[in-house]
Order: sequence, then C-alpha cells, then structure tokens
Amino acid sequence: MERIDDKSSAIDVAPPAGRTGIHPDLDEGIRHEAAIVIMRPADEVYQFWRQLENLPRFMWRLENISVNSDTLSHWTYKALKDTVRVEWDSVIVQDEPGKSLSWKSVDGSTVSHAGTVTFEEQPFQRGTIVRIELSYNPPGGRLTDFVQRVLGESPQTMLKEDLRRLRWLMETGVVPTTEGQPHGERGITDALNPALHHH
Amino acid sequence: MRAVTWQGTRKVGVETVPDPKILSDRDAIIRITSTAICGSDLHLYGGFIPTMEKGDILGHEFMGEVMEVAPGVKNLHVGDRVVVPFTLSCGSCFHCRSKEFSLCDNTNPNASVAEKFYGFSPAGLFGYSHMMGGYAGGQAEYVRVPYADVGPLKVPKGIDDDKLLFLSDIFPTGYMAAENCDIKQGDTIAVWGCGPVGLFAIQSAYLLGAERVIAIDRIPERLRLAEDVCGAEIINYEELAVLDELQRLTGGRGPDACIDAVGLEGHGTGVMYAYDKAKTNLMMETDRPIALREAIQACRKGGTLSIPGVYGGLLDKIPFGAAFNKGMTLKMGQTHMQKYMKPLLDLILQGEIDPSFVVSHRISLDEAPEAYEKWQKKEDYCTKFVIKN
Repeated sequence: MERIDDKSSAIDVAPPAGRTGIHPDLDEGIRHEAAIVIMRPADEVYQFWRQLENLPRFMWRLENISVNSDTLSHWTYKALKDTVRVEWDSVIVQDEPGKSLSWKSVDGSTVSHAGTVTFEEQPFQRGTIVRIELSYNPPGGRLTDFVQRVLGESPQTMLKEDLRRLRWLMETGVVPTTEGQPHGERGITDALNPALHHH
Repeated sequence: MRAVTWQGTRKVGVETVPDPKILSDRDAIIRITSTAICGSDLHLYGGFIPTMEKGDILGHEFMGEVMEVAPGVKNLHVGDRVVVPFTLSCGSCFHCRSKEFSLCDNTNPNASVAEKFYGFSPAGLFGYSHMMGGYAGGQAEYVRVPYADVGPLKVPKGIDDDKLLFLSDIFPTGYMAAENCDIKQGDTIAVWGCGPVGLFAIQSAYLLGAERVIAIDRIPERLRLAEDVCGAEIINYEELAVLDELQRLTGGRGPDACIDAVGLEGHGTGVMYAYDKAKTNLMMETDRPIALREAIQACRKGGTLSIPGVYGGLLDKIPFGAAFNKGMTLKMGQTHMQKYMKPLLDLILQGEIDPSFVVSHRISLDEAPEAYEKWQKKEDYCTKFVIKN
C-alpha cells in the first residue's frame, strides 16, 4: 500500500499533461493550449517567435505588435469578428533561448494575459514540438469567451490554426491560399459554407 | 478563359471565368495544352465527394506550357513544357521528406475541414473539393499551380502530349498500385477494374516481375485492352463467378496480391450490389465497396491488397475478419507523385511503355459536359477522354 501512495504523490507534484509548469500566471483566467510539430531546429523556431513582430503573421487575431525594448512590447488584438480592438503592454518574464519564452500583460492592463511557448527538439530528425499555453481575462470575462464561441471564433480552434500557420511559414515560407482564384458562378447556399471563406 | 465547372450532382458546365493570377510566392501559371477527365472525376460528378460547390473548376490531369512564375520558383522558366501532378506537395514537411508526397502537411488551406472527416488532412488536390483544398482545377485554358517548384515535371518538346499527359496521375497511380503489391518472382496479381488505372497497374505489375496478371471487369472493350495490349488473362464478372474463377486459375491458392482499381462506385451483379446501391441512394452509406470486398475474399493467405481506387467515407460489410485471419497486408492512398514521375518519364522516353493507348476520345473543352455523361454511362466505347486546347 505504501508503494502505491508513493506513486500517487509523485504524480501529484508533476504538472498536468501538456503543461510546462514554468509560468505561475497561467493558472488564472481562461486557459487554452495547443501543440504542433515543426520540421525545423528548435533554435530557428525560437528565433522566429522571439522576433515578436512576427507573431501577427501567423496569429491572425493579432493586428500588430510593436517592440519597445528587449522585454517590453505593445500588442493590438482584434476580436468578435473584428468589431472589438483591445490593446495592452506585454512584458517578457522568462526567456531561455532555443527552449522557452513566457510573457504577461503589465499590471493594470484592460486585458490580463499570460503565455508560455516551449520548443522541444525531438531526436532523429523528428522536428520540434512547439507547445503554447495561454491564459487571459478578457474584458467581459467568460461572457466574451462564450460570445466568441457562438460567433465561431473558438479560441482553442484559432490557437490550433495559428500554430498550423506557423508551421506553414517555417516549413514552406508561404501560407496556402486559394483567395483570388477563378471560379464559375456560385450557388445561393455557398455564402454559408465556411470552407469557402478561409482567410 | 473557358473552364469546366461543377454545377451539382450529374451536372457540369463550361463557363467563362477570369484568368488565374499568381497569388503566392511559389506559384506558376500554366497554359494548358492537354487535360483529361479522370475516373475519379466521376465521383465528383456523381455527388459522392462532400464539400464541392457550384462553380468549382474541375480537373486534375493536365500539362502545358509555363506562362509566368512567381519569384520563389527558381527551377521553372517561361516557355518550359511541364506535366503537373494532381497532388500539391510542399517538399519540406515530415511526409514530403519521407517521400509520402500525397500526405503533405502544408498544402491544404482547409486542413481543418479534412481533419473533421479523416482525423488528419492529406495533401491539397487540384479540382477535388474544398475539403481537399478547393484549388481550381485544370479542365480549363489556364491554371494556377501553387508549389510549382516542387510539383511540375519538365518534359522534352517534340513528343506528343498523349504520351506524357498521364504522368499527371493515372500512370504513376497504376504503377504505385503494382509497387505496393511487393511483387516477387512467380507472383500472380489480380486486378479489379480495367479503366486506365487498372490497365497501367497490369502493365506495371509485369514491369515489376509478375508472372501472371488476371484482370476483372464487365466492359468488353476494356477487357480487350487488358488482354490484347497489356497481356492479362481476363474475367468478365457478368459471365463468370469471380471467386471461383480465380481459385480455378490459381489452382486453389488464390492471387498473391489483389489490386482494387475500382474504388467507391463499384458495380456488381449480386445481392451486395443491390444492398450498396440502396444504401448509398438513401445516404446511409457513402461508398459502394463491391470490388474491395471481393478482393479481400479472393486474396491468398498472407497476400497483399493494394488499393489505388478512391474511397471517401464509411464503408459497410467489409470482410475484415477475412483480412485479419488470412494475415493480409493492406496498402492504399493517393499516389506519391513526385516519387514516380521522373522514373516513369524515363520509361516512356526509352520506349518501354506508351501510355497513349488508353485514349479513346480527343475532344474540345466545350464538349466536356457531354463527355462526362458518356463516361459515366460507359457509352461509345470510351476508355479515356482527353481535352485538347
């Protein structure tokens, strides 16, 4: 019996599956996490991410990030079908080159936001697992999260698409698109089809 | 330009649409000289593949001349003559690096839609539904080819289009089907379906060392091509019981490998065909896997089933117990085009094989709607329609 107790206590101290456990602020607010494998060295993916100006290239709800110092930056975010624009200042709180990066909004921001990304290079040329955890308290709190889901902007889904775009950029240099290609006359129901309206 | 567009189940049209433009750094624009209608286009025509939209430009077997290239495409130049594979591949993802080009991670902009159906998204395809990328197809005068630095194969000038065109899909597809059989000296291979993919699978099986190939179909002109041009023994399933005949021909052992070159719209004679027809009509089943069932049943113990025929959804009454208890190997999937195009071009240039024998009709773009109808009904001795611009 004692041995079983030992094991369960060992499990208790480990972070939950998929959690890095390196960012204390992540335990507050609405949390989302996602992961993807990218066939580039961890250092290279880290460097791309560390240039924070790159984030809006694959996180399409981010309109802009302007970097003010080595650790301070200003983030502009669009939500609710582009009807709401939220801005805040963010500070890097942990930075281990090639391995992980954590940030949070500065105290007193309208949005309380924290994030951690880790880069785990796999052996035998299996790429780098990029794992992101985000937490935030949006204006309107959980209600905003609910409204976003109703509008088809599930943050979890968006986060997954964000990482997919990061892979597209890192592995191929382009984002696949059919926007602007020719087609014949559309039917009346096609306006409702989300597959025709990716951006 | 003029283009063949999907209009709904069993309706295609020819419309005037804008010319394609470069949209991304790895694009090229091709002027199409020859483009074919594929048996798998009939699955779109028949409404079997979800996420098609009215106005989508069809076609995934085409070749032509490079008109324009984006700055990211260094290996192609204006004026090059190219054959374009039906799959889009990035060349650098996990799967492309493993030469599994049709499983490319990065070319389907609608990957999230395909993931809902299949768990993961395969590569984007030309003219083959929005779930598969929604890329405008090549039954048109011009086409935009994304990832043009990885896909198109440069071919020499002065050789007839009809000899080269089928490098775009069906010749490599038939070849991969045979390669997937892991053919050993003395092997007997049975091929269901003597459409162009089945015919190329027969020829490829012999190229790869098969001792005997037995071909199964019901359409006399196709069986004749299988026998006369490709050298197969033939079974007309409307005249003979296929399982009994295969047992007889192989002395009771069964074929060493079976190829299902039929796919999701199989035809048959018995009660299972009636069952599938009724269930697909009622939308209770997506595919009619008649050939697949028979091929599993027919295959010898420890044999291989290779499936180049396209399946889309949920299949009923698959004798999986037979596959398991006979210790079978199953191999399938869209063709890893870039792995095969160059070596097969060399075979054509060396005169080892001339794929143009499958062509039965050469037509204009405006005749495409009529061709789809004939092809679907297997009228007019059609084996392959090629559209000439």
